[in-house]
Amino acid sequence: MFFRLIPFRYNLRSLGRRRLRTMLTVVGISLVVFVCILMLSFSRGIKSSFSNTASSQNAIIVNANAFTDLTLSRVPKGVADNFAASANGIKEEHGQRLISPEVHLGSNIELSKDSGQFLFGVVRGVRPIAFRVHPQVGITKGREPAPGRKVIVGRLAATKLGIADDAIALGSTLYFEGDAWEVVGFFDAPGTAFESEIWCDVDDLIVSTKREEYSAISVVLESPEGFEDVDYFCKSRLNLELQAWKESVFYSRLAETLDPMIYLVGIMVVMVTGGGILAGMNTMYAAVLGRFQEFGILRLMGFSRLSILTGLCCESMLIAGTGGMLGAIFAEMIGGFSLRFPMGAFSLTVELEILLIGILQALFIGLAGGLLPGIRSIRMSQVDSIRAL
Amino acid sequence: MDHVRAVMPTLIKLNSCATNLDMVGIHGVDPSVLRSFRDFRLVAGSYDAFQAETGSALVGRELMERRGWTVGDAVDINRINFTIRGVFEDGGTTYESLALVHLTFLQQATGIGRDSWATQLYVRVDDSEKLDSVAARIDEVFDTDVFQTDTKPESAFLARGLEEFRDIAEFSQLLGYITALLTLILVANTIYMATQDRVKEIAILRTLGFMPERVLLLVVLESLTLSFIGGLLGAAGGYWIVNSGNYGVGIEGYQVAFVAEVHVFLFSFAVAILLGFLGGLLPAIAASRLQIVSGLRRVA
Repeated sequence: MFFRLIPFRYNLRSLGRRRLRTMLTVVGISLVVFVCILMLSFSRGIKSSFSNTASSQNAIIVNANAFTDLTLSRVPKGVADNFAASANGIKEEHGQRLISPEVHLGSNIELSKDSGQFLFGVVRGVRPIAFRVHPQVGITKGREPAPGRKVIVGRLAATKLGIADDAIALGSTLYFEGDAWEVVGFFDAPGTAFESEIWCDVDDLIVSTKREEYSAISVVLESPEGFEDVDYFCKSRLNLELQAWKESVFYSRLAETLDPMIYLVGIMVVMVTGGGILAGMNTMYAAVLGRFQEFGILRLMGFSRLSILTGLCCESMLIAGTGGMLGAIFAEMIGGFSLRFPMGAFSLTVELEILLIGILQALFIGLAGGLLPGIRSIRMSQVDSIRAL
Repeated sequence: MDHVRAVMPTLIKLNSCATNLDMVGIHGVDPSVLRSFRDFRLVAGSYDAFQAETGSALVGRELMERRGWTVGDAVDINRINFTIRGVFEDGGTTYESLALVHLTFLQQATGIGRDSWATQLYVRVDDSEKLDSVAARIDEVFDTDVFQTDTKPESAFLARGLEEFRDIAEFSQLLGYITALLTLILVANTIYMATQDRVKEIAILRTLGFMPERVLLLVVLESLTLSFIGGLLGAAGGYWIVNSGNYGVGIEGYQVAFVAEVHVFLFSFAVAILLGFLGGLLPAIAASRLQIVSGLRRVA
């Protein structure tokens, strides 16, 4: 028996015979793909906001007792100076070692003085060198933060504060830690947790919060092996109570706290895909059940069982593929919005890779949905097919 | 200070277990003031044993059940080792998701004991009406201190933490609505298919004298039966997955566990029934309007 494909036009017209059911299935599968793309983008976005924040070349030094808890970490100024002067393995640029002492804290922020309307935001006190230690950060408008309580605001800081994007303008004033801070610029750092922060001068923040310590020190390593030097320094100088982390490890430990949520998202993706397969199967079973006579004629015309099965799978994948494309287009259209979570905020960006996964998922639904009904239909012997006439 | 009945310094650690899907909230507290401060009910073990042994812990009922621990177990939570000496209930609050250990023990275990460090101070007032004024007074007193305070009622403190999850909760809700719509289409598709396959049967029923309303009722009942079985399986499956998985997130030092309660199970089940009804209605109307002659002719 030779293999001859049933003309594609024939499959296309077959779908038109059951318009309502075909349309329902297309809409159903488009919803499956839409939901799955959004869920995958959600888990990708939330995870990558941590992984993108970490630089493979960077290390972070915190108080040894704080583990990965920046809010508990306190590195006294003297200790930071000692580290800066003595630790090896740190990159130097233009005669300056790339060491950024920083204060990191959650703060209640007011948009107008004594309004009583506190918005919870994340503030990071930095020195100018922080922009070289965290090269992901770039000023998009205005200038760098400066002493005199001049702050810059991240692209997603408004989302983190739960206010409209235009609620904070250049020149406006924010009130936190008992002081007024003028907004002198805006910055972005695509896909990182920095974007949800407000950056200011570290010494200003230390004065306002009446503290005498930094939260952590971020450094750029001269090479991946440089971490061993930094780690050795922290371990050998026990009196300083410092602990070094590779940034990638540090932020992946932080991201672990969100794993339960991402795990549940995974379960939902699997279940919704299962629902899509059922919808596809339903349609194709219905398409097959009333067509045994038709298959008999096709067999008489010389089309093999495999040809008929291929044709049915094509029909099913066409329905699913159309639904998948619609779902992907819809997800792409509404993607790009921002969501906040306890440690910051992130943009739910629908990436091309995830769109392709969504469309492939639709095709898989189509194939899985068409295969079983198809196999059932071709099992009928040629004699029975002829009898069905 | 006036109206302050008790103060309890508390050191908070949120540590992961062997499986990183489960975070355990550990609060270091002073056992001598804990009892006067928190009106929980001890349901197993002994408070005296907890008070007498520095490396011991009182564990909330919810956490005990979640982790499958029993009184007397020696537990290792990421380098913090303690022995469980009691189990408490606190009216189903998030406090039941915590392990309470001695403050000094946790300070030593985490190496934060040098400065007698505490994450926060719990203050008990003698009159709840005075809560806001006492909070304001505390912040005023410590305004010039090295460590300034930010005092607020416990409920407001937790509400702020939960507020951080609002976007994610709303997003999940949106996905839930879309999934319900998807289910509606799936049900409608299935019932439509079922009626189309039985055109002859429906035409014969009409010939036998079944009125259109009766046919409509039959199809809707079929849809309801399917959604009843599916809803029961789905709601039970979801209930089991969420409750058996030890899922939760840390909010302000509390471990807020994802728990599917009975009312969530019932709500999901009711939604499934509703979707079954709505999804079956259109195909049922179409089936009830079937012309007897054309129905018999289509399959003759």
